[in-house]
Amino acid sequence: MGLNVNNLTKSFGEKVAVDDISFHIDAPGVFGLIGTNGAGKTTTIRMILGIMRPDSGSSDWNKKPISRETLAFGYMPEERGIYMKSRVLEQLIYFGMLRGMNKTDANNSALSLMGRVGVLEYKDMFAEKLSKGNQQKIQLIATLIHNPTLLFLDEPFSGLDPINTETLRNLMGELVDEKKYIVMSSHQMSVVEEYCRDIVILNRGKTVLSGNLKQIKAGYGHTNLIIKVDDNHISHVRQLAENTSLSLYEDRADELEYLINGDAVAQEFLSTLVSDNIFPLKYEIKEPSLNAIFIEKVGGKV
Amino acid sequence: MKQIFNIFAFTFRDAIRKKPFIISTIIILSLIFILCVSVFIANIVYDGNLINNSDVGNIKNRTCYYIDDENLINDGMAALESEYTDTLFVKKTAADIEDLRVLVSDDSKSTIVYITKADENPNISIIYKDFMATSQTLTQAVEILNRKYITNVMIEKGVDSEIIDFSQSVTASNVEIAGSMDLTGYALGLVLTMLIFFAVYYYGYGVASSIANEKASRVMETLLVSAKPSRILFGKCLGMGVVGLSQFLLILLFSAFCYNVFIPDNFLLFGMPLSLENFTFSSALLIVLYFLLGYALYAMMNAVCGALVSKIEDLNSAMMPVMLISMASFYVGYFVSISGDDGIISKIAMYVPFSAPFIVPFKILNSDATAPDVLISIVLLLATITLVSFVSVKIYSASVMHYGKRLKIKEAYKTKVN
Repeated sequence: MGLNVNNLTKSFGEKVAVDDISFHIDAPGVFGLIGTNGAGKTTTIRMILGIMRPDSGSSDWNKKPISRETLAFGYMPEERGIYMKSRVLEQLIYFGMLRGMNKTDANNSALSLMGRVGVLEYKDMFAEKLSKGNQQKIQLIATLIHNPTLLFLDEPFSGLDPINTETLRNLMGELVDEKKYIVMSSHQMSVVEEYCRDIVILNRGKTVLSGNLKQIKAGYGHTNLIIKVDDNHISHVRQLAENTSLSLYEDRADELEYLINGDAVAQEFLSTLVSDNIFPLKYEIKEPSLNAIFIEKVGGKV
Repeated sequence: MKQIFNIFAFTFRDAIRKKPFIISTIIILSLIFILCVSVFIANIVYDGNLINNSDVGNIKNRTCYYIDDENLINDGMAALESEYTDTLFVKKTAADIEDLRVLVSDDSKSTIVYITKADENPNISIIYKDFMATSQTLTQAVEILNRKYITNVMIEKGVDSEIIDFSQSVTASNVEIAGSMDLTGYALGLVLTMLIFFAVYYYGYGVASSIANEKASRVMETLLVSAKPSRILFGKCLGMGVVGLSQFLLILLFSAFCYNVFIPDNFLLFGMPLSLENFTFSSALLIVLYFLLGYALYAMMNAVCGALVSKIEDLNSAMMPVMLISMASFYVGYFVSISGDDGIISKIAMYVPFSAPFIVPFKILNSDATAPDVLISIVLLLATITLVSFVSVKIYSASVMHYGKRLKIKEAYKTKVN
């Protein structure tokens, strides 16, 4: 059981939107489809879902072509794809019925999901009256209402406040536990790092990086050192790092992150700090963040 | 088919609960009600004079200043008085004429009959305020005076009274319309033509606007993963069409109700009795069919306009070509209808699918459309709708997934979608 995407290519006029993209998902979990705006993510998803015909290449689910009629998949677009001037439950039932459910099942499923994400009280309200976060939840319910096995979520955490993010995070966890196959597209690298086992990074329609996220990061080795000290020593640490020729990667409110070239450099710096009677509150040697890798791959540098 | 029905049902339910539908329906029904009740009240106020009134030519509550200083037409004023019983006749002299002119110039209910001598014969001048005065009545007044003068002359000449009476007798006459082209069919035809145009335009715009809104709000993305674009298109057009048809039928039924309740029997419209003999069940069915076909044709084209734009504010410019076609077709249909033309232009307008819905219903109501004409027109309309639908579905399917710079119709047509 799994999703196979093989050499998908699509052009619009002279512009190649998707250029020979391939990836495979062979186990339940979350797969990250990452790219800047216009990288070809949405076109790729549309071709996988059978909405748009590729110029070449193919995709299949369990060796069978994917279409609206043959597979219960769910797709949540990046922007709120709901009727703002319609009542919430009414339109959810409508979306459920479009996915082949009868009215009673659609109603029950919608109410159950609304209860799970905490929006049951809004069932008879017009969608436009809801907050952005709650609209996002309604959109997610519309995607999940028919209990799809394969899910495509485009920026699911966009616009959510911390409480709603937590609710959605829990729901994502439940979906993974329910053995759903989820393709998630996001600009929030921390979200991708948290959920995705495998990723594909797209840039201008081409795959620039793909594979297991842990292995990708391991391939870079330890490149970053995070130091946290009390406020009295912060300027001293900065001075010492300058003397050791460590280059500052990020100066955060309560910690400093430096680029290192191997673990030995980090350990030597720690010795220097200790010898100056500075005992860090936090000392972490780590691989580059996905954000850094992304920037490097699509045009910046780590 | 189930998906088309679901989309149709949602679109229909959504549209009939929207304010524009409710408000426009209330306004139209209120206007019909007010119009019919006004006729009803006017009939009561005028004590039934609006109906079957054979004294249409009478001047009511008027004043007539009569000047005939030389008594050129003996008993002329008496002759007029006997004919116009509701008019007050006041004898004046030529010395008053200028003052009377001033008076009449401000009073549309006053008239001057001024008789002078010209070449030994009386010359009758009628002076009144403006052209709104009934010319028919004035001509009649001149005729009465003329007859009186001739009678006086014949009496003077000693002509036998029998001959005089015979010469003054009026030949019985009446005007009969042999065909069924009566004022009711004409008026009803025009009203229905306008109503069909309004509905085709309004609900066609509704389709375009609904699609553009779904696209702009990205609901389209949610719909597309569930249903094929062609099903969305047909479901939506069907939904809006049934909303339009419901309003159209509601208006017709309410009009029929008001007509039966408020309009008195033998009511005259501009002096002619109302006749609905051409508004039969089969003609009503044909009119509804033309409404549906006209709507379907324009809705399909409007749907493409809605799908072509990414922002709702671009919709009007995208719809401009379809609007121009519909407006031009309506005016061709309208002017051919009111001109009563039965020639080649009328035939062309009936056969051209874009103008047919705006002229054939009028022709049907006025018995000007032959069965072959109607048949050819329907076949051509159906063929055009099929062709337009085929092209529209292709363009629509490609366009609804395209954002940003507006897609050219040629590019959209060539784009392959599932």
